[in-house]
Amino acid sequence: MNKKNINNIAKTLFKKSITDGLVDENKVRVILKELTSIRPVGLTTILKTYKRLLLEKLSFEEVILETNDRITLQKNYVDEIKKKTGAVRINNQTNQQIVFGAKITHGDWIYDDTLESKLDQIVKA
Amino acid sequence: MEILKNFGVEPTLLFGQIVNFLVILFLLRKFFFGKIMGMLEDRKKKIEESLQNADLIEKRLAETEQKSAQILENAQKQAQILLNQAKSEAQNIANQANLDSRQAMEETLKAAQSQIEAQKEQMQKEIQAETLSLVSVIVQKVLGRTLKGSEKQILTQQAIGEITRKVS
Repeated sequence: MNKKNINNIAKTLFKKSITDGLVDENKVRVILKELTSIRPVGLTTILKTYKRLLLEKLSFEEVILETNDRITLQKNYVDEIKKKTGAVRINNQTNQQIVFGAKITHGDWIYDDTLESKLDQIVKA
Repeated sequence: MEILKNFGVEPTLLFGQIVNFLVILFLLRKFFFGKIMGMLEDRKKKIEESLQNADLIEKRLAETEQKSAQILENAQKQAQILLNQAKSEAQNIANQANLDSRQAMEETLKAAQSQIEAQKEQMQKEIQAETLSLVSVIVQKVLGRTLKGSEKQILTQQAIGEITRKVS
């Protein structure tokens, strides 16, 4: 089986894993179960591509918020971020390298408003 | 006649002598005088020719000497001109070489100066960047230690608000 066919299969499986624009955990589970029972040619490559597509999608479903300490986000900020990014959840992570400020990662996008990034901008300017 | 007798002159002998003389004169004229005169004439001509040749030679010699002197003088003049030209050329070459070497030196000096300036500028930039990095690290350390937890919370909330406004 060539690479193009493998990609097409992975994309089809990925599309079938989505419900209302979000990754459906149950569908993913069923697909994986059936896939491993059939064991088609190029299973490993199909699974790798499928995983990559799912991770990409999940990364856009989630916003990672990095701060110095765990904080309680104001509701209006949470709603606004979810609305603007289209994400379904916000994952608050602590990062001891940050003195103060916050860094938001959404898929490929990074919004950095930490002290470090501001100082770095001044140094590079 | 008496006088002739007194002097012992005998007319017969005189006549005979005259005849002898005439015969001898005739013979000489007939056989020798022409050749002798011819020889004398030839010799005279040769002498004249020799004299003329000598004059001609002397004249030509003088002309040759004059020409030689003229040629020598011209050669000296030419040599002097060539010498002067060579001196002038040598002077020009030396001047040009001096000018070229001075220009090359000035260019090298300028290049070195500009290189030094560029290096200086580069060093200044590097020092500035290093200083800024150092300041940045110090600011982070100082603020990390001096800011209270509540102040950090406030600043972080402000940053989240700022990011929320920026997110598109």
